[in-house]
Amino acid sequence: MSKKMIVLKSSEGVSFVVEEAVARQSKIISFLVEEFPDRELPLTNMTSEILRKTIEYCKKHVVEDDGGGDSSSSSSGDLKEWDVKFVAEIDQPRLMDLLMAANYLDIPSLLDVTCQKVADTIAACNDEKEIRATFNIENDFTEEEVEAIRMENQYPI
Amino acid sequence: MMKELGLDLEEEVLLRLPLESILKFKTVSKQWRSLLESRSFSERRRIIIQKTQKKIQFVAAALLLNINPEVVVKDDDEEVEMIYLDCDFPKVQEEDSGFSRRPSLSCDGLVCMPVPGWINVLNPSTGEFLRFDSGRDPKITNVLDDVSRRGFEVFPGYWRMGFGRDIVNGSYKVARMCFEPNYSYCEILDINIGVWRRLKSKPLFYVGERLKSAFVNGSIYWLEVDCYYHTQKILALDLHTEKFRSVKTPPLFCKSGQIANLEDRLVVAAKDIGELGFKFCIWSIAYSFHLSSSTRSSFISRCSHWWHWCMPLAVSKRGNFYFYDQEKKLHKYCSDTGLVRGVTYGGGIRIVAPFVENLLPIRGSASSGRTFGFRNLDEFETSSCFRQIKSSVRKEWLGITTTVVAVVALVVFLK
Repeated sequence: MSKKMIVLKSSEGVSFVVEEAVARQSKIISFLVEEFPDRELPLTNMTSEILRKTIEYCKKHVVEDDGGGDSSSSSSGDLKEWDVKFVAEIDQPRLMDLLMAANYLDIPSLLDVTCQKVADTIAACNDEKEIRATFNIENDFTEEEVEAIRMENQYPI
Repeated sequence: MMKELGLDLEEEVLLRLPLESILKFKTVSKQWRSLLESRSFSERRRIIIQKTQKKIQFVAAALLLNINPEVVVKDDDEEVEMIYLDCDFPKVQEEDSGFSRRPSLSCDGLVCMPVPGWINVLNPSTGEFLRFDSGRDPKITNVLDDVSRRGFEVFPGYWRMGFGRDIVNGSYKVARMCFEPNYSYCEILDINIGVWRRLKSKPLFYVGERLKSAFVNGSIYWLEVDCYYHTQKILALDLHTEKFRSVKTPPLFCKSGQIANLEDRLVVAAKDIGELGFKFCIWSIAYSFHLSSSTRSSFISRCSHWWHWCMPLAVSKRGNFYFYDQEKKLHKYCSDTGLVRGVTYGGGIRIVAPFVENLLPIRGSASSGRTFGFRNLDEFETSSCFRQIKSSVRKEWLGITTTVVAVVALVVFLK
């Protein structure tokens, strides 16, 4: 049985041919495919690199529902492990892009994985200075304000 | 880099931080701080935690110098986590049967602990700690200092107290009632305002000082059991309208019932209720089991006393039912084996309340006795100072034997 393929086009104009079932994990693409069948879908705010990563994730997570077999390729434990490895290999700026892509394409599980990875990165920072440096956040507090907040929020446990 | 994400995604990321980071990293930027302290953030976070939290958590009081939590807490299912308030009040415990536990109330993870002269409100999640003057206690003429109160949690000044949240405007309130032969009244302390105010409406009927109240969905409930006339009544106070009402109770007579909030439903834990296949209006039986005991707690001997009671606390994902006894020791009823097991051992640990993470600042605009952080707690002269909080999980389990002593049924108020 031949699977229906659709074409996604990145901001650089590179076309990706993907199985529909894979792409449909994105609620947006799922909607677009129904509205505009047999058309190339331009994703103008996604680079080829991010789009490739997103497709890689979707391929891994696609649920095979045709064929009627129980041949789910990977158990949920394996999948979790794969997810962890998947986000661990991505550097910080691309992770942010991927997070935004997951949000834009509306892929909840990918959004969850990427957000968790960023949160873990934040939690691993020693102090607020490290966070500001890592994420390029401007400090708009004075020394005194920081001290006051710190006094109010000592971690009790 | 964070800026590109926009506020919504930034919140999405921050929601997944551990509690420690949430408190620590409010200093990153003004935007982070306002996000982390917002009501929507803490409400979304609560939903996420309810979904992902595997263990049930309890706040327990202990003098951590004297005890080793690894030894005194045993739970073979590993579904319990303790948050310890390092308190010195268990210190005086050995002397008499007063147990020296302070009765406390809780709501949304906040702990309200009235001590003579003061009302303490503590948020164990953030360490925020508020203290309010409780004013002069009324001269009580009709409360006898008898032994039958032993083992019950009586508030200072014999106030009948309650603690909860006005679900319409979100403010936390402490309620207390006083009953004298000729008059009765109720006072409310809004945590945001910090002043006691007497209500126009009076309690509909007398409620004794021995039982604690329960807060469920906007109202405080008091159970009154009259042993002489064999009646029981439930008095409810809506914290928003501040009006009293009476709640229909099951027709059974339980001389040692306790009212509680279990998973946001009103429950009565009653001993010896007799017939079990019972249904009455909106009430139904949720759990019914025999109290058994472990060799390491002296639970058995005390079970036979008429005043023995148990206070429902929580139900785990596995369906095990947790409660504490009159010594504030934690027990659990295992739904699969039908056995009751002790979880905490020895006198060192007293269960205070179920723990729920709550990030909302409780501070109001005008409360005078307000401090932040645990560094302040040492300074209070009250005997129940919280010094610090530690959390710990324990592993192994020691052998137990069981003895059937009494039947406890839990009656649930369905609404």
